[in-house]
Amino acid sequence: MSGTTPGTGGSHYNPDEPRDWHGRWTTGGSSWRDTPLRDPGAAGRARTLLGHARVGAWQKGVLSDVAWPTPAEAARFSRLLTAWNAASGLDDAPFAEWFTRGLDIGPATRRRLRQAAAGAAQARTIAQMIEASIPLTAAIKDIGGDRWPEMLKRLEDQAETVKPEQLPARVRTTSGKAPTEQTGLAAGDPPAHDAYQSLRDYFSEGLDSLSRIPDDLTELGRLLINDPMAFLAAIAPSLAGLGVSLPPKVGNVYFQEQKAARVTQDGLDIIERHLARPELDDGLGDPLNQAMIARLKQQFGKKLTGADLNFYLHEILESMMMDAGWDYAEAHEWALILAGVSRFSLFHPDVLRQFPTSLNPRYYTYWEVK
Amino acid sequence: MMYSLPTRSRRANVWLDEAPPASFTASSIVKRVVKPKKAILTSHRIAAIEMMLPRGPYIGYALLGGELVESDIDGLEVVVSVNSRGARFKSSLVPMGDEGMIGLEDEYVKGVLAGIEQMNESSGLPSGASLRFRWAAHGEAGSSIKVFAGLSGLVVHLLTLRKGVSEKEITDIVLGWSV
Repeated sequence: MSGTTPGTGGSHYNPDEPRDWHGRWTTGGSSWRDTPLRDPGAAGRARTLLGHARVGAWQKGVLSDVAWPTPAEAARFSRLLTAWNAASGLDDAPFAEWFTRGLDIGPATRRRLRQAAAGAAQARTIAQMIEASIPLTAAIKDIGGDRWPEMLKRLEDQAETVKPEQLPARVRTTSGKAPTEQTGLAAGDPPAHDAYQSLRDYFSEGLDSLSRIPDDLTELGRLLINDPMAFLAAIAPSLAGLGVSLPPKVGNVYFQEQKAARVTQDGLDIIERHLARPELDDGLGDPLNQAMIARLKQQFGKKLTGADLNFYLHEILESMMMDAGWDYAEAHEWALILAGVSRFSLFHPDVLRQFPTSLNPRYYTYWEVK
Repeated sequence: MMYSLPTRSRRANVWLDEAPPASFTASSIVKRVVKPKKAILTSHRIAAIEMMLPRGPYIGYALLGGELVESDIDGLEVVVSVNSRGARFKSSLVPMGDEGMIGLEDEYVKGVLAGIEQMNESSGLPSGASLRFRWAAHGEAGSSIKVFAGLSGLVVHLLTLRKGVSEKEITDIVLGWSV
């Protein structure tokens, strides 16, 4: 056997030698790592990322029995990636609210998930996708090692009071045996599969609701489904006319400090008309909204900051999305995600002090209002 | 009987003489006896309301239900069951982005009691009875003291509605109620 033949493991073995998709050495000079993704579409991208992450997790002993996602699951994951990407690098709160709701995972894990999402969205080759999968693998390991027992315990606690049909599949399919103290899992449960199922359930829940598509969307409204950033780009001229600037971003990411707005009469008119819509419950007459509008009027022509900026931008985005055919609830959530702000950040602390019982306590906590 | 009210803005479910699917085991109980400024008559034993209030930059949400039980108390005894965090509550009225939880958190008790006081000031209260708030759900983002104050007064008002009240009348009441 020749020691110099590629692929034979001889003395000149070089792991960086070019290989094809199957890992075979090639003579063309290009590495399999540079192979373009076989399916660069959203679903294919999600499948590839999940596949690499699962292989990585399996190698680390985190997951012992994982299945490839179905196309439907991959599509859901793909939507998740898009939204993760939109949320990357912004205020952590909206990301945490939407995609880690119920998981109670730490900021390090959230950061890894975002890194994976951002990398996957831009990956063009296998190598780039593998790189993107590394933080996802780490995140799976984080969750698997630290939080799954706690989360599964919570689900099992809920099983005592909630009807079976209200529960995620994990609880319905449990073997019924008592969970062990060490892992929180019942003997005989397939933990890896169930844990992954729960992860998908939790992550997909918010995205499923966001993906409800109204029948009468305008062309602009449809753009929001496929490419939220393109939607923002399309409405940028209108926003500019209202004194709002959402400048281009780095890697599909908006940074809080890049957003800017000055109050204009047109902007105020849009907000007041929007809050008076019949779909809203006397939004214009609401004392909290009135107080925020009064603040905006006092700052006419000035550059807005903090809650005033968030409120002004949110209401204008929400209005534009409803004009594009989205229901109020979807428009409200998308406006939060696209502007990268927490739902609890829209009211100024002075307004919160003025109305100390009108909102959920988390609004007051957000601005540290006692 | 349950009514899902067909409104374009404020959305609500109402239960009359039927328990809403939000019972919970109380971790503590708060009791108050209120002297009615005017004794009012009731027609129903149970009333509950679940309401979602889309206000633009925020969405209010809560569910509250009470059972009226005859008692030899001089006045109205208000009994509020408290449970800081129950199981997850799934309902189409829980706003997107919020999370419904069965139970009534401590901090909302003052809202429930304030709503009873407001109702006493404006219309009066039943007397010689115990009103037990046994059903509740709250939103992790949408519930507030103010919303629960609005709902507790509305529960009392719903108890006074005549038997056979129409859905249209209930809708008008719920839409016009100050929350």
